[in-house]
Amino acid sequence: VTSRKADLGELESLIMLAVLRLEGEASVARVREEVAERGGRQLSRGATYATVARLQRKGFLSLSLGDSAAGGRSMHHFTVTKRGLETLRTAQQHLIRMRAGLESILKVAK
Amino acid sequence: MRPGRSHGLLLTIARRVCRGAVPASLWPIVDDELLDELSEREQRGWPRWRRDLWGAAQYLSVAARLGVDRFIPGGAEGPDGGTWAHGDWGLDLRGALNGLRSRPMTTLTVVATVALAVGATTSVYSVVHGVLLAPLPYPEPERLARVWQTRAEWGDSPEAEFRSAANRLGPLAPSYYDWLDVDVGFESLGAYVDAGYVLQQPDGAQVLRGQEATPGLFEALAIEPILGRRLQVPDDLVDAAPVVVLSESFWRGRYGGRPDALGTDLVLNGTPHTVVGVMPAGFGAPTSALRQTMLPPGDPMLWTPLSDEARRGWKNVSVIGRLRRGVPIEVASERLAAAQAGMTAVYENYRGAWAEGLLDSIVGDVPSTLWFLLAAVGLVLLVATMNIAGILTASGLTRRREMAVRAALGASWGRLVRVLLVESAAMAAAGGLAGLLLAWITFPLLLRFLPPNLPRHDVIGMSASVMVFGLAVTGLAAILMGTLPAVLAARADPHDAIRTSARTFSSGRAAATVRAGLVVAEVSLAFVLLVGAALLGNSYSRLWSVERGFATEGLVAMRLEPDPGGDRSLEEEQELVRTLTTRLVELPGVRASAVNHLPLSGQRSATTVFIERPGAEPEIVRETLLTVVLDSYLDVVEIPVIAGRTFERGDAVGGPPVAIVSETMARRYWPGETVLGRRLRTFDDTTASLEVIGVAADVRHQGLDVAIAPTVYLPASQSRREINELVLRVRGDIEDAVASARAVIASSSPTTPVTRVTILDEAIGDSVAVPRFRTMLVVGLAGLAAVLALLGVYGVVSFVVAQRTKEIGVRMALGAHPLDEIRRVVGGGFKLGVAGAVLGLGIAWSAADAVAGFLFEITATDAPTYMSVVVGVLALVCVAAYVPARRAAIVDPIEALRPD
Repeated sequence: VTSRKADLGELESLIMLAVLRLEGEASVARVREEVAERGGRQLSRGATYATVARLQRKGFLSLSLGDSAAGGRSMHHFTVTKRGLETLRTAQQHLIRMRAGLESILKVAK
Repeated sequence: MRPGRSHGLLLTIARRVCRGAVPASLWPIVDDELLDELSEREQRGWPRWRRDLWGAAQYLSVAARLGVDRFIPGGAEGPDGGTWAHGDWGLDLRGALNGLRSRPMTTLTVVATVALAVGATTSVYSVVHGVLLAPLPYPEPERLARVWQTRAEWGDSPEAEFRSAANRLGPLAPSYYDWLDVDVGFESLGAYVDAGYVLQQPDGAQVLRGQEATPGLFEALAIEPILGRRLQVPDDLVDAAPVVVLSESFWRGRYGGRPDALGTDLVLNGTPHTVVGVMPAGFGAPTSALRQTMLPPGDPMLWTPLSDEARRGWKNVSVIGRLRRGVPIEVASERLAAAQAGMTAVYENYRGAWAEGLLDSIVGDVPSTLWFLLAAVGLVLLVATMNIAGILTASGLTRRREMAVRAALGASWGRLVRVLLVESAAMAAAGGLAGLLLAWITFPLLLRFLPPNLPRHDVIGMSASVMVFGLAVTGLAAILMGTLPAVLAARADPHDAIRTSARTFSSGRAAATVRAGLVVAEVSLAFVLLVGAALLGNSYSRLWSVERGFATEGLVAMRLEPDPGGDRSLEEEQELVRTLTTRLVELPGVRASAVNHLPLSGQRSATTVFIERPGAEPEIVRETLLTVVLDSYLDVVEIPVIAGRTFERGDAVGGPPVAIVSETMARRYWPGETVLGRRLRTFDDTTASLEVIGVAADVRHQGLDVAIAPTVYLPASQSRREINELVLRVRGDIEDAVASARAVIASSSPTTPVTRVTILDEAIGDSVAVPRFRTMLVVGLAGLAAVLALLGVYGVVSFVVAQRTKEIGVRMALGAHPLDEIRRVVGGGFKLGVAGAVLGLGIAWSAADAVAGFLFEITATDAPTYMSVVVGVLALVCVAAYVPARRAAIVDPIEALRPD
């Protein structure tokens, strides 16, 4: 039995995937844009922060605060931790295994 | 760059709230992002208010979302929230918040209603607390008492003013000194009078408000000086060196807060006084009960000793004592009365004495008004909670399927009640906090709205105890509004849910009945408030439109101190005033005269008049108003002379003594006779027999609500009274005219200070400020209650229409006329209105005493007022019922009969 703590919700998965896609430029605003663009979901600011906070607490996301870039904006971005990556990988593998054989119904490539 | 970091209050608060709710590691990111977006919006040209509002909403929504995760246990560690079956409070609260979000209109309505009700209640309570409940700023204030003397025989006087003064007279100074010699339970006893001090400055004379006080006053109030010492024995002996104690503000203003002010001399009324001490800010015996309105307004700025020479005078003083520990005020009061009874033989006039708590003596008759207003706002709170209970009951009905499903899944009744209670408590909490915020934000407005003569104005504030009260009210509201709907909605029968549609639940009828009952109760309470508002409004308009007898527009009284040094004779003073008036009429648009006291300015003089009758003893008329005037006075104030003539130049010293009497005086003492040529004497100068040369129209002198009293007018030159009030009739801008008049006075007589300027219309407005405040507040509250009650009627009728769509459809299909349906539905609402009005009528009638004391020329059971409220309420109820009823008339039978 997997512990509840290691479970990933859909929103959590989406956000972690977005962080991975953004490759070190994952600010909260960019994550929201990415999820909206590719994931097809408009996340509220509050929901995004709440999920990010939860992922941080679980140790799946880590936050780095960069130096101020030109223009005075302080830079921050998230990265997926090793543990986070493992959990995400497991979850996605489960998903793929569950999907196997249903490709025609779900209309996705094998 | 991020420009302007300055935010409005709302944004600042929202940001702070967010910071508390968001985990520390995330806060800089949240803040950065939002500040960036704010500055971006600034560049896009959003106005400040819009940015602030947007930003506050963003911060609060982030705070709400993260706060739930952070502070409410259960589910935070689960993937996207927990499951419902678990059963802890945290889950209930999460479930509740999700539920509320899914019904935003209901939630917003409820939260807004609670916010309004809690905000209004808290605001009114802040006044009650500040004026009545907050302790006086002295150590152990409950031991402080004020001592009064009484004149029992005034209790029967036809004049209301005398009746009210019968029990509260400032004691005679000699009595005060007598009391010092007997032990009635006071640890210390002090006497004082309000006093004006003339301070000669390079730019003219200035009058300072202060108090002459005995050392005992300082002992009784028990406040230590911040510098030097208080007044003490033997400062008060006749031949002691003159000393003065300063207030903190005067010391800072004049001496810049320097300690070396001690020992310097301050020349007051021409005499050097040595500065011996400074009292802390806020110190000061309450302004004495005797009206001393010739003094400049404000707090006392200095204290000089009340010389014990007063022992032998007839001066009226204010007396404050500190009770010994353990001596109840009633005991001290009784002992004082007994001691005074033993001394009465010595004085011919003053008979009794008693003591009351100092706070009681300061607030006077204001408590009745404030408790009344608190009760009124309490009724509004009650109406609001019943209204919400109605909304929640209705919402519970539409949620029966949800409840039934939960029950079918094994949720117990208690658990369902708990979920619903958590929901209503969450709404109450949000509404309550918003209400407190509302009260806090609108507090400056409230202060401006308060009557200026409300005692302890400066103590009113949004203190911690006011906030605690607001929270307690919120808790009460949560219980009142949530319990009944929760219990009703949770009585779900799982069968019902699965079997039938929402509109045909059998158990829904109980809820509908309860809801109708709530609306009846709401209407009845709103009715009570409306009756109160109608009575007060009616009374106030009668008070305001009372016949004054003269035009008040553009009238200004400027009070002079023509003799600050005390070295002018009365004739010289009068001559000075006369000269000033002749200068003042040269100002454009100004007519000027002088009088001892202008009507409706809050002051009066009175004397005993002896009416001479040929061949009989003179008739003695006590307390006749005495108005001493320059000859132009009646012209300037525009008081018509209805018989005889007005005063002329010839009515001077040495001329035949003359008087003008008022119409009431003429009618009362020479009924049906010719008045001109009759004779009278006054107590001021009993040797001169005055001839009545004219009759002047009546004017209301002592207040809009005080009956017109007999008045005698005397020419100043033939009287021994001072005429220190310059009367200006100004056409045009009053402020400008007053400024020019001041300049004229300063140039004509630089040593003559103007101690007070009274714009008559303002003074009259102030004199009715308490009734106006009371009336406006009750009218506003009644309006609020009425709107809530009508919304209740509307809600119930809408619900009935929705529930009976099918029934109505059947009738329409069978040929019923739409108007009949409207009539039927409105009739249902009307019945609720009638029930509410009848109930309200009963409550209002039996509670009429509560408002009776506030009414002027109208009784608390005035039938026309009640009738008009009945008619008005029923008409409004019909309107509220008609709106949803129209929907019944346009029911399409086919739509209505289509199965769910």
